[in-house]
Amino acid sequence: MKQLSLNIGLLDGFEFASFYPVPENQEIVALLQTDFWRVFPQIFLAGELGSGKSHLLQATCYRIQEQGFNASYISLRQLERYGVRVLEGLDHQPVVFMLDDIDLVIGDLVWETALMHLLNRCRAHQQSVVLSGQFDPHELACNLPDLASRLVWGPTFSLKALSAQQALDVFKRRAKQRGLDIPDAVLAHISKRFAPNIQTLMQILDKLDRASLDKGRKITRQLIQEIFPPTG
Amino acid sequence: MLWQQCLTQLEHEFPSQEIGTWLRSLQAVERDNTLFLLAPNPIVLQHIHEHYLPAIVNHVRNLSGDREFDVMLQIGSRPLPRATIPPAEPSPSPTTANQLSSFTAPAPSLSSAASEGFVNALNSKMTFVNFVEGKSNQLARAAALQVGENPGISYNPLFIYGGVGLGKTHLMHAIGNCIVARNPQAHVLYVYAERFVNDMVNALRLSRIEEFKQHYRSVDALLIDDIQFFANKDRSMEEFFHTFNALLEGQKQIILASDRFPRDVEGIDDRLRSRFNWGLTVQVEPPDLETRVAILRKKAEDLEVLLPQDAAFFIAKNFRSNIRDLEGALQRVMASMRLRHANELTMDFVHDVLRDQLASQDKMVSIANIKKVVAKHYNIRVNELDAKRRTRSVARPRQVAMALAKELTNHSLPEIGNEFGGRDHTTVLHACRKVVELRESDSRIEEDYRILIRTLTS
Repeated sequence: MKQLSLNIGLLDGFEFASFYPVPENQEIVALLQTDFWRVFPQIFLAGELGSGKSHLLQATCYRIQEQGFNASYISLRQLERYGVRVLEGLDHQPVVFMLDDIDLVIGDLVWETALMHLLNRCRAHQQSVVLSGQFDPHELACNLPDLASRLVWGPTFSLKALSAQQALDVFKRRAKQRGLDIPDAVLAHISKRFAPNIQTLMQILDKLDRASLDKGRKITRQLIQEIFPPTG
Repeated sequence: MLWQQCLTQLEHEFPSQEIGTWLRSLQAVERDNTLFLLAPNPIVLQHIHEHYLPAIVNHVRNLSGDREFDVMLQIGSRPLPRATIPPAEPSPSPTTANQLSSFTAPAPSLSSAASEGFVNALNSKMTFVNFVEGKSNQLARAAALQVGENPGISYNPLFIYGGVGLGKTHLMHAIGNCIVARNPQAHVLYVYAERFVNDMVNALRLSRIEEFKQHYRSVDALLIDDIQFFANKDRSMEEFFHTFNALLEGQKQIILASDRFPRDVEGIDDRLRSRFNWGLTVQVEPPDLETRVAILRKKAEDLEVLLPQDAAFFIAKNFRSNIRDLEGALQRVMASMRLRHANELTMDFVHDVLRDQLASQDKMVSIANIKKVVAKHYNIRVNELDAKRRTRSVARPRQVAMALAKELTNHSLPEIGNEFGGRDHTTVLHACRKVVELRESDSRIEEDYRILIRTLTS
């Protein structure tokens, strides 16, 4: 039963429909919803944590798959610990290849070499690649010039992160998608108590969602106090 | 399809991130009441087995109803639609739902490079016709054309070297395409060094080394890119050494490319290194502004975008580290043009679209960084660039640093002067003019300047 409540809490899905429309990001969001991969062999999404890079990459991956083409999403945040062998064979399959959080492995020569070879293979097989990182590729301190030059080999789009108010809007919208009603007073309490960035807010939503389901209670200030007892 | 239905069910059970990273990397094939799930490598296979297989089996059985589908997890992939020699063989270590308790780590994949076959990967779009010639690549292009027209006779091997993203690969493909155009029966093979190494490793593992040798030694022209990646791979170098000798003996053409001069390629066997010098070694240098503009206009033409001269100059002036950088900037402009349905490219439009990238470049090329790089290059201390001393050993680097600051940043002359120990703007102006003069008259200064530009912009 525990697992059921956990899973329900994660049903948001990374879709274009659930991506918050920050005006500055409209262009790249529109581009990723086209058959961009027929035109651009490579695209780089640069944006700070919480700007929605992973969301967009996964939404793009699903969209392409829905169209009947093969697309793969690789999160280096999740896969880095397995070493470069985890990249083996991944490029045999997709038409489009999403590589998320590449800045996590920049600076490691083994990873950089593996990435460079992967990009070479993708070019040779005419596979399109969408890369993401926290910084513009010009700012990434690559050890390998061969990789550095390949990272700028396509259009780079900067993603703007959500403002505090936008992050709260997303929080409210996601809560609603999950069938949770959060009164404005409770929302105001959350905005005062927690850092108003999207990662923190989504973690809070997950915990509140689970607690609400487990305890069969509505989300109130009291429930928040119980789940997140004030420290100090 | 069963797997798609199964994925939909799994999406209710596992976080989207996990579904995207692990489960969607599988390929599914339905055959004889079995759902074959193909994992790209042993790590993915093991992870799927440990974390998701029971749930997958459960859903597949529920979804398949009376048909009682079995699930088989193995390493492999459906072949990409491209020319390959032997088809993928089945994996030796499938994991079925019935074998869960006896699961062990899988044997190596057969669906990797070796079983795909040795791909002859010439890019037909890279020819001499669309190679933009400039002072920086004139000699390399002429030598390449000569080899393309007279393979095995002119310069053998032809060794092309130069910094990243300057057109070495384009020249190699152009040679290959030229050979094939003149003799359609010619067997031309272009590979990255990494591919040669992987092919050899796989061939050894699969006891197909003779097939590998036969493949590489039967070509009319062998083009190996980025040979610096042979470094310290002794067995591959040994094999390449014999391949090299066999091809040369048979008067077959060899073309090699590297990011540095043959004798500077580290970790390469001396015998091999000396052979690299047997033919002709040519350098591809960074293109000058005019050549970068010409390259941009050519690429714009290929993309059917009308690129005005002022926009081309603007991009060429600001994206100078290599041709890939230029191409990336042009594609960025093109993407926004399409999305905004813009009919023409104005300077304002280009400025607006490239604003973030330009800001990033500015961050990288600060006056402080220029001073640091120049001081290191000339082996002096940074504070000597600010000091009053006028001895040549310091004055010349100072002038070079000032000229670089003028060329690579948007700072005004007074601002630059201020950054160099509070000097007057006329001193900066004099330094810039002096460096222009010296670059024309002194090849060492010209070389220094190019190296520094490359270091600061790449």
